[in-house]
Amino acid sequence: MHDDEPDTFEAMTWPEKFAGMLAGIGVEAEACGVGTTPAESGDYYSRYAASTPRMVTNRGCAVLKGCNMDAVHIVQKG
Amino acid sequence: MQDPNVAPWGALDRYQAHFLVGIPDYNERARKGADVFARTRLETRGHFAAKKVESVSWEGPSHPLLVRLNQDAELNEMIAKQSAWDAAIFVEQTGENIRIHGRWRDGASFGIGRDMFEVYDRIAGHVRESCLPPVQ
Repeated sequence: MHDDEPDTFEAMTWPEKFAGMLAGIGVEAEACGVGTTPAESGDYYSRYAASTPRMVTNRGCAVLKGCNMDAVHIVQKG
Repeated sequence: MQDPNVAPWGALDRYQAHFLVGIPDYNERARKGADVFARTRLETRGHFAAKKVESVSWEGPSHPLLVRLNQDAELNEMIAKQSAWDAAIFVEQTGENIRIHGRWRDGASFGIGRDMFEVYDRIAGHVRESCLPPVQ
């Protein structure tokens, strides 16, 4: 059976994909490189709540414009 | 010879989007009060796929943000329309940023829709109103 999935795909980082999703709902967003924003250093959780993960992978940020939030930070578990 | 059945390893297929609200110089002001933390407390009905959210309230240490979130009935109705998974929202301070995030999502279902963005944006508005320094 023929596979309908295309043989080629555009490699995108998660912030780029997320920025594309935000653009689709009318929010202006611009993806940044991994490790380029100060928010990516330091803790990602306050440890106030139980069962927050001990190890996460930083996937980068996207800067938001025209809304109450400054940026969105994508993290991956493990 | 290498093991042909390699055990899974590495990062998991679980992602989270943390929406950041920058609070410059907040640490100086935070020493006078509690750190920001709030999370939704859901009243649900049903189980498994039929699980529905009936009402939403916010819980956490005493803070003006918690009062604002609990008083915003329209926001809580917007959250109650979401699935039980999406309705779990956490607001916590890490350094000079307040992070608003939900639960882990696998790569196929990870994303953002208009409804959830409106919810997060409204919460961020309350964060700004309750945590930002007053305009001089």
